[in-house]
Amino acid sequence: MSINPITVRARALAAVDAIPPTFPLSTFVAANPLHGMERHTFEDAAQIAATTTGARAYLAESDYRTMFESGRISDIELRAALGRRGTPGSADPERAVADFLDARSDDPPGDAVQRRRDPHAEAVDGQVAKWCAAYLDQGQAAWEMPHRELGLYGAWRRMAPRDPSLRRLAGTVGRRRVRDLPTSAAGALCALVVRRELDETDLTREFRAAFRRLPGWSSALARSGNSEDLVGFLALLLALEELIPGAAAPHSTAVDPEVDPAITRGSIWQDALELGYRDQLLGLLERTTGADAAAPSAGTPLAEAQMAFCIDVRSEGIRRHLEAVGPYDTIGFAGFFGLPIRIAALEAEPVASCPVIVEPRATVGEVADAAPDVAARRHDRHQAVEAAWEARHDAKVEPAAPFAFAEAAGWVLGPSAALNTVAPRAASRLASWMRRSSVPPIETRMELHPAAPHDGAPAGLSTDEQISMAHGALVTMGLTSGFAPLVVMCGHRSATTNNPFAAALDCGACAGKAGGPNARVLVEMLNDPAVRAGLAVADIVIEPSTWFVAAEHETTTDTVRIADRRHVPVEHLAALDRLEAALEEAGARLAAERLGELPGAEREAAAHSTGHSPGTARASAARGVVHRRSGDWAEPVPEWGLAGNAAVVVGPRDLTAGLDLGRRVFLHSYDSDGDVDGVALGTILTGPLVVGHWISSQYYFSSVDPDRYGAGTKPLHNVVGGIGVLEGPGGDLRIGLPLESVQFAGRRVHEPLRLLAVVQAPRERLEMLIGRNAAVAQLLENGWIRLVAGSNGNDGWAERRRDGTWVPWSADRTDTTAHDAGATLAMAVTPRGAMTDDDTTEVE
Amino acid sequence: MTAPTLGLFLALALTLPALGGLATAGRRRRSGRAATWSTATALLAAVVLLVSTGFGDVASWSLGDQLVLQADRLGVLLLVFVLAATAVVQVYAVRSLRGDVARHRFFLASGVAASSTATLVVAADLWAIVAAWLMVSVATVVLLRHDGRPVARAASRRAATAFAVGDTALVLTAVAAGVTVGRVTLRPDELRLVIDGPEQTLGVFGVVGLLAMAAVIAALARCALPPAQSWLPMSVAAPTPSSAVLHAGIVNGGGVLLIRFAPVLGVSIPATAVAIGGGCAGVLVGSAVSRTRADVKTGLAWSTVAQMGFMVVQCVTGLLGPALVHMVAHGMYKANLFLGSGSTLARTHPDHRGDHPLGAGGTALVVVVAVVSVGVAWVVVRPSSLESVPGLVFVGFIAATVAQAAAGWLRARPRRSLLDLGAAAAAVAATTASLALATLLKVWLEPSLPTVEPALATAGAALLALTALMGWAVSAMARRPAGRSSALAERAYLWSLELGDPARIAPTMARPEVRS
Repeated sequence: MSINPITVRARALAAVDAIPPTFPLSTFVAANPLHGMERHTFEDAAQIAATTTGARAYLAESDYRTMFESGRISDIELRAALGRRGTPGSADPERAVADFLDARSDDPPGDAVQRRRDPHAEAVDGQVAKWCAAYLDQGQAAWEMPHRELGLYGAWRRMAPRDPSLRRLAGTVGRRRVRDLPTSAAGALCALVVRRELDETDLTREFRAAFRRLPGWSSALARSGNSEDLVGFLALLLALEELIPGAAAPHSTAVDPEVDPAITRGSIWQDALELGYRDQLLGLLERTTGADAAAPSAGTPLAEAQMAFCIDVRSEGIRRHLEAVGPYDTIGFAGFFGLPIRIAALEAEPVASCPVIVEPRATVGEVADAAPDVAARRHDRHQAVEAAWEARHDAKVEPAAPFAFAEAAGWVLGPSAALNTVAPRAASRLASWMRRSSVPPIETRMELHPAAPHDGAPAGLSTDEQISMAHGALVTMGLTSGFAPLVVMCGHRSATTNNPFAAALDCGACAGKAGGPNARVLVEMLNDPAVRAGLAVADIVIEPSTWFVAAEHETTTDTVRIADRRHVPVEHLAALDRLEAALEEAGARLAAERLGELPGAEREAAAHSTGHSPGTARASAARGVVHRRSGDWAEPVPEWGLAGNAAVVVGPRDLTAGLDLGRRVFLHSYDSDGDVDGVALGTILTGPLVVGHWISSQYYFSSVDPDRYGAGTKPLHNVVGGIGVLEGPGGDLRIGLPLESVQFAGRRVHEPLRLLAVVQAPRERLEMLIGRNAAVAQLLENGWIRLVAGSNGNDGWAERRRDGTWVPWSADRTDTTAHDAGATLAMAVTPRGAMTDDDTTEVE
Repeated sequence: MTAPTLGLFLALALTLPALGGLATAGRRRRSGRAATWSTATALLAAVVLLVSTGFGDVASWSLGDQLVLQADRLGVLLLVFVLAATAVVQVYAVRSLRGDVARHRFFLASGVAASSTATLVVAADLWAIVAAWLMVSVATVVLLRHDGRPVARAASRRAATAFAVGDTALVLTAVAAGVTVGRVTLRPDELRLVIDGPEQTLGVFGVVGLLAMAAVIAALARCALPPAQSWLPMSVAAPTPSSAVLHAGIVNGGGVLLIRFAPVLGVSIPATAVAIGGGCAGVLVGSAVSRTRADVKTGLAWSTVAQMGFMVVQCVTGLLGPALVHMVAHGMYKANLFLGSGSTLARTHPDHRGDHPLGAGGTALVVVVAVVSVGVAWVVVRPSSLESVPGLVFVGFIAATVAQAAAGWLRARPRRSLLDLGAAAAAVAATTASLALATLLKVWLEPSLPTVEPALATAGAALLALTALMGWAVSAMARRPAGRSSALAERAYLWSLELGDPARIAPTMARPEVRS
């Protein structure tokens, strides 16, 4: 078959697996940067990444050695990891460990490939980056790129004959040759590969190599949804190589199949590290299942309220403290509450509020719940504030305007900068007072019922749809009977200031948005008698004495707010008051717990807690500290987000109740006995498990190679195009998490671990579901996720090896030091030690 | 207050920031708190000096019978401003650079830069000014180098090159002036004596003219005006607090130099012409390029290029009061925008201008609001100091700002309500306040401002107005519906993109950074 535009286009689109998936900052969701390589084993993907981009997939040998010396990785785990490899040449495990430790690998693994430092190639990359930034801009530049409607390549092709940069790089003659290029991207790409005499079989490899030159910008193009622009990216890059003398890159060669010994060693060390964590966690779970066999299960009438939280690792902390404070049962569930919807907040455009792997099926709007004239007045004020921002924007950027504007605005902005900096808490209080007085808050409700379609998307949900969604949510969270008088659905959000990566701290299950609105929607359904009647038909009987309430956990400050309190019937108010008091206490305890992990927080708290009794002083100082961090525009680490995440536990809360899991574990409630057909478990494996894997991978890679998979450090961040950040003035768009999400002052805060899934369900059911779901099977068999299962904890845990065999796990082979009776897991497994302010360690 | 007490306060204000920075030097475990307290104490001393000028006390320091430093009203105002800006940014940096491996270098460089800029603004003698000027250059180069990543090094080298040219001119000319004239004191009356005295020449050049030209060249380099514009946008390779210090204080040094040398510039047509040319080029290039930047920080940096161009033209066309207001207000404005640049996302929105065109009625309303605002402000304030061509051009810029803001407001509000009247009242109030402030400050500063008859005031102001009109015309052309965008606007866009391309300025830009 000959090369033609259609085949070239197909090859180009086949090469997108080299592009790391990313999301724009406003909806930042964690993703596995090596997502396109999940069809390979983790080790092969590591090898491919190392060979093609020089990126690393494991820590440096010296890091693992340090962990070994400190006891973080023990002899036992290293022996087990080596045993799994079937290390050739030594049957004796002791000998194998000694040999492994004696052999040294050149540090760091993966840096075998040095990046080209060819000035011509750099010129090409620079040009492509420039055009991508201009093309993808979502309105940050006041002067929009002309001819954008022609696509990336089309616009460039149209303007290139006049482009002074092309004349600088290619000369006048070179620039004239642009006119010979076809105007369509696919046509041009085809012509260019023919001219370069590329073989058709090599095309995909060549194109992958091209995408890898600017992984950030190519991923932004891939995300923008127009596949023609990916073809355009390649056409632009190849065209510039053609036009700029000396820039034609040598053909990329096939990946060297020989495995880098550093990668083999890294994989063994990493395995040992993860086995250690597995043993610690299972050891702890073992103890609860043994001791608390007679503990009440979720839903017994003992509980005054049941409260469902997102599976997010941060929920583990608030759940643990809430249960310790009062008679409350908690449930873990994906924070979008199973609702595949778009939500239009009051005065805002609808945005998807469900996992990015789920297609929203309907739009729900938040509407004013007040007298029409009150609502109209508020709307007018809201619009005036918007117009004031617009006026400010235009005065800032429009021709001739900024000069006198700076002279006037400076007198306001200067003092406000000083106040924000010197008194951040007062400043944020002032700002919120100004917001409240300019646009007074108004009561709202979620309008579920079908209304006028919004932008063509179906608006609202029919009662049948509501019943089906509510049913799915209750079944998947295992809450189908034994409802407490109060059942709270609690979403979560973060509250940070001046933080481009704010969405990365919000609810990942809600596509980087706040989870509270989803909770409100579900609660609205569940309090509706018509929906309850429908659920009763499906054997879920909710007594009239049960009331559902929505809430939102603000993870930056550990405050939980109850929504729509005015709807709550009077007979529930006393219980709700008690719950709110308990949440207040739990939040204060959690904030105090987090103090030790936040850089500089202990010192700050000590400075503020003078003059009180020690116990309450620390709690109230902790509250002050977290609120300051939340509203402080100078704060680089307002909270740690999901750093430390290591495992997901799918099972009843009894399994983990009373354990301090150090906010490292996603907890998804699951009642194996109530799900005999495995429908709920299937949903969990394909939904929350996969999302957990994405989050875990994002943190993993941002932590092991922050230069390539991370977004760089916050003080250098330079928001570009409304979609991402640059580090400094230009270059490639950065992908992944900021450095301040995974390390601090050169100290690694996120210990990179691939996701460990612990599922309490019969193995046969798991096998059946894995057999049905190729994507999940692939993740398990290629070593991206480690799966451990057990049935009700009685017949012990077993790990599913990559080949599909189940190997029983026994507690006796674990290191006993971390498992003293009564000890919690937190300190043993939390890599976030006490963080002091002046703790800048030497890193060079 | 007695002279020695005043002298002590002046000494504290000038030395403490640098001492605080030096105490942090080389000690990476330091949090920067000590340096910040040191700067804050210096600020307190400066505030005392500011208050004491109200009682007619002027702090000064002489060496023998030569006046070296003098905290006159102009000096003390800028002193308070520079120290306040540095103190605020240092407080910010204590938190925002908490995890930065090179934070001690930020506190060192910002402390030394604050001390030397403070010295610059109160320097009363040519040699003092030159020494302070050179120290600012060195501190800036260190500030930009930060942790020594390749991009930061490239940015630092860029600045060093630009400064080397400007500073060499200044030093050589100062030497020449020293040899021919003797000590040159920058007090307006004494400068007059040099100008009106027997003409000193160096070869065919008059020393006064050379001095003026050197000041202009040094100022253009420091203000990042063409042809020395590229170092400033590259400087965003340094962390956010460094940018804030740079844009709030350091770049204004050029304006300070031009105000101090204003009497000399007033008699030198070539130097004034170069300053006007550089200033207008800065307005043109800076505005155009900043409008094409899709990233927040270089967008802000290019906008500073334009703002500095505007300020330099104000300086050399006799609008010293407005130039000072501009320096201080723009410094605060830009520092805020840099420190808050992480909030960009919340404010980004696609251009909806095409969706709600203003129409003839809207345009008329915009003109009315602008004319009424400026008219009321003029009648209330009666700024006699602005009754000149440059003054009227300046007022025209105020009107342009009101008009653009009004247009933005109206486009976002298809339906009218009482709130629109409130907004119009706010526009009038803001315009009046702005004009009143500029006038009051000018009156207060009168004793320390040189009286000059600028050489090319009318021509300079006219060129500035023309430049602004050109920018407006090109942007109007670019706004035409897609497909009809004229070739001229397209060329202007391509040139702006090319000039602002960091990969052109520093080719290493496209390479991902790999630490360790």
